Amino acid sequence: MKALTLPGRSVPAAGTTPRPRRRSRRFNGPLLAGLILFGLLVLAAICAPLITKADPTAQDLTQALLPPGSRGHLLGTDRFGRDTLARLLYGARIDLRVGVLAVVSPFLIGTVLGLVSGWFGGWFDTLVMRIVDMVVAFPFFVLVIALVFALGPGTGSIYLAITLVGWVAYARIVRGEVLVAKNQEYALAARASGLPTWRILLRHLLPNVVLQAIVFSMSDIVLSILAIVTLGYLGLGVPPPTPDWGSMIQDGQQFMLTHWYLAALPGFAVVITGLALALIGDGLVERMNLR
Amino acid sequence: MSEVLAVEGLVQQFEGRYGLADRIARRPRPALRAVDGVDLVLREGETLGLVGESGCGKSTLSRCVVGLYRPTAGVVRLAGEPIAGTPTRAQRRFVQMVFQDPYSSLNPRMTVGQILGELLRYHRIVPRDQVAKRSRELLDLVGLPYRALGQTPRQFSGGQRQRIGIARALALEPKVLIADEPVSALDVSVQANIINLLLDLKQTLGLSMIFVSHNIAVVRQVSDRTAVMYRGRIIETGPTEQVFLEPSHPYTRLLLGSVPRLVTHVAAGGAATAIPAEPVPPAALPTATAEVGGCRYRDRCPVALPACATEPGLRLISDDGEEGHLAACQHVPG
Repeated sequence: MKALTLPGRSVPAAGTTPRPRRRSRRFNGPLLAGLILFGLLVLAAICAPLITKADPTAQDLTQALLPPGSRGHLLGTDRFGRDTLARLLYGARIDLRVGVLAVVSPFLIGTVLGLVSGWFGGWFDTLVMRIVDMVVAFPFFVLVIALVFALGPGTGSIYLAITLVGWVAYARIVRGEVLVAKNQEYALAARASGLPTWRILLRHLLPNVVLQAIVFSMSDIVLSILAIVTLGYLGLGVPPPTPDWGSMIQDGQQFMLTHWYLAALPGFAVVITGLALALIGDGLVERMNLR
Repeated sequence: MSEVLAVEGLVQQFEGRYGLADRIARRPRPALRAVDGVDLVLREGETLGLVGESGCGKSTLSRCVVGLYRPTAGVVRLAGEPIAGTPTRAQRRFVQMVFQDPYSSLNPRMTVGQILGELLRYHRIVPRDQVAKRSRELLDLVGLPYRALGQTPRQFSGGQRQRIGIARALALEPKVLIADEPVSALDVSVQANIINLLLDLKQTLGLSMIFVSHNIAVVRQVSDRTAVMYRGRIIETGPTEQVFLEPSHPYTRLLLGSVPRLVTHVAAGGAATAIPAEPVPPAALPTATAEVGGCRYRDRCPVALPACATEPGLRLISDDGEEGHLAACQHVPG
């Protein structure tokens, strides 16, 4: 008599527990797409001199306002005859670098403050959260623009302004997560076993609370790039003639009706960057919910 | 038998929010006494069952004992030494806890090897080069394969996770194990395994144990003595069989769902009438604030007397063990 087995289904050997098939591989669709897109952008910024021979700041008024597809100028030139492709690529260097770096210090400061105030509570928590409330009361851009205006244009003041305003979001996120995590039994167990507080915070809580902050930082990079672009547009950003997407949009604006691509191309670059980072953020969320 | 753990007059009060507006309006400071004057003794090699409904203070009491809360009043003595403020390292090692929910009691970001190794290293249980070996021994104790060391908690079932939780508690080589509802989050089919494991370990390692549960049947099976808690107080305590066979406090009777046997305890001089087992449904349960005086059960008690407005304290019913059988009820002759 044949054993009663369903065709096409293997029976696990006795004594071994069949592992449930992992539902997700290390990379999911959005994460992979975002990483590839962002990787291409970074690669383009790094390899700028290999992609175009043109100098992004070299002016040539005889070659001004050429349309895309012109000889030697793939994406045309601006009103000073500077190569648009070169400016876009070298602008990416500035904007991506400042955008990513401007997220690092708010991330660190906000995470540490959120961790400490969430864990200890008390007057320190109250103080930190009141400062957070004060900063949040102002719109992000208004505050950043005001701060950069006060500090003077340049990358240094951009970093400082974004840090001063940006940490509050991380502090809030991390504090909220800590408030939940510190009453989880694993945190109680760590305390009951007498581990020192700094160790509980760094080894037990931080890895569990920092994920939300990392996910948020992806969209925050978009925000800080937008801030840099906006500042550049307002003339408060990276000083000219250094290429930057924001100042390119502003330069192109006056030729909107005749040479729309001058403003549209850097705008498109901003959109692509935002899309890439948003995809990475979504992908991370999806991956982390699977635990 | 010597006592390994003693709780004396323990009070744990939680303060509610008391803002500036409350202070100006001179509102009373909101406070909740989760544990309100508990005395308890655990002797060497003994299992003490702690039963009571949810919210009666069982968990708070056990957390006080492992030093997670600093008691508002009273002391916890470990081997005679009171915990003063923060427990010392030796005191941390002395009492360890097995937690209720194996799904939240293990850090999802650490492997089993990291969880155990960290404790072994920090408390210097074994020399550094012996940590891996000792971790494997711990897994042997709780019946898990060695490969568990490299795995994260999410790869285990509830029962296996609870085994990891027990191994973590045992890593510090405690003398006293507090098991706070160790099986209530598990499937019924695994509950017995975990309970038997705990009892085995208690035997082989010579542990004393406080077994906290709302599951009466389990407590009866595992514990030598049983203490019944109601709204922050112990209202009856004694050798398990006596408490279960001759419950004296009306609340214990309700809890055990038993028909009362000790009609003789009805007020002296009165006729020996059967006490109804069903409690009077309370009109509204007052919160366990500090102001409540007298017997906490009297608003639900079917046999409440005017005298119940004063706290009776634990009264001795019979004295055959070292502690005897005690109940806090006016119906028990004082």
